[in-house]
Amino acid sequence: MGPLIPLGIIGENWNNVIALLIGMAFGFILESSGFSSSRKLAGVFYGYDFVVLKVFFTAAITAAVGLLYFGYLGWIDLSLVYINPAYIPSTIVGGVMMGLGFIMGGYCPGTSYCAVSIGKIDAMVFSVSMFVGIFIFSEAYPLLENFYNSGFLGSPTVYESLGLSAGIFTLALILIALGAFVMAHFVEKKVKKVDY
Amino acid sequence: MNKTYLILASLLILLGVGLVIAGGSDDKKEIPPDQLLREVSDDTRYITTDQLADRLIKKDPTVQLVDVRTAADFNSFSLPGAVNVSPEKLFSDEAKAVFEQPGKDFIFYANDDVLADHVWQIARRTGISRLYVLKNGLNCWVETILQPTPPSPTEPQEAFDLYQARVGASQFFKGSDVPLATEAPKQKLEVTRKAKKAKAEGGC
Repeated sequence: MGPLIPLGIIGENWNNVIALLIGMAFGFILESSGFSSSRKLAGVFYGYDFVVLKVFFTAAITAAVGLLYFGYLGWIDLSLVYINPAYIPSTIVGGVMMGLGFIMGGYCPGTSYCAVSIGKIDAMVFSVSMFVGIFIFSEAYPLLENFYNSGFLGSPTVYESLGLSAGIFTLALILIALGAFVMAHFVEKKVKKVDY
Repeated sequence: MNKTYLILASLLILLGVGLVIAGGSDDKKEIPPDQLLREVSDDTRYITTDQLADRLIKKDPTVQLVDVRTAADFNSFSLPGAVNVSPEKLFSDEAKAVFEQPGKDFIFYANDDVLADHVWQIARRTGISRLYVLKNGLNCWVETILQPTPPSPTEPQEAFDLYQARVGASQFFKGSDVPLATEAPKQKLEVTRKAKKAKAEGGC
């Protein structure tokens, strides 16, 4: 039955329209969950607010469990679902830079637009800086191209790389997530509350 | 801790255990039988030796030759840039690494095209795309590219052009100096000249 667009159940032309609608819903929920506050987002690094960890980890395990059950019931062909290609060295460097930007600016790219939409000046500065970064990267691309494309691994899944079945890996991920939530609960209790 | 969280956490663990028992999704990737049938009866998977020679000479980066004969045969003779994937190794990790290269046309060849065609069907069934078969295999490669035979004098000009191209390809792949054939032998035209008229006399 699914995925709907690759199988032609919904036309290819709807791709961007659906993406826009999902994006708006995602942004709305992010904003209403308080993700437009840089203090809340940065809290995960300082240990006074773990809502980012909780929300994204919950999203990941919910989606994983949902997709695997859908696949098991034949509602979606998982082999047709897009998996990001993996480039190891550039992903590590990119991840470190993204983390630094996140802790310095207090936003990740998506949440910065949530904050722009409610008129936060720091988020506007962040968004403009992001475009400056993109511009510099694009201009320097010929120099970075080899590194950018190095260490290509295809589109592997974590469970395949570990040699586990999808079910066992997902159960392990659920247990790790729940463990992280409990730990975050205790850390939050220990660390001094910050008002924002 | 909040009771709701405990219930939700237990529900997630239960769902996770369910996935382990169910064995997850069916990971077998196969293309639907009707699609395979359509593709099997379609001849576009074949590539001729001339087309292949042309692409190899032009150093087409999308060509990935796959030799499906035994390793011994592969070691004794193979086409430039080919990798050896014999049928029994089709599902090995090395073969997987070959077929995971993005943007490549995988061209199977063997001594003729029967074995290559079988491998094509199995590989295509597992969902690997951009697969081709070298028409008539290496036998045809030797006959047409490495040792081209000159056309008979009565054949059309296209046959001579093709022969010239093949001789050029043969030189490219063998590095030897095969004598270039001259143009189609031209028949001598017999010109019958008109007898000169006698000089005009007089007139105005």
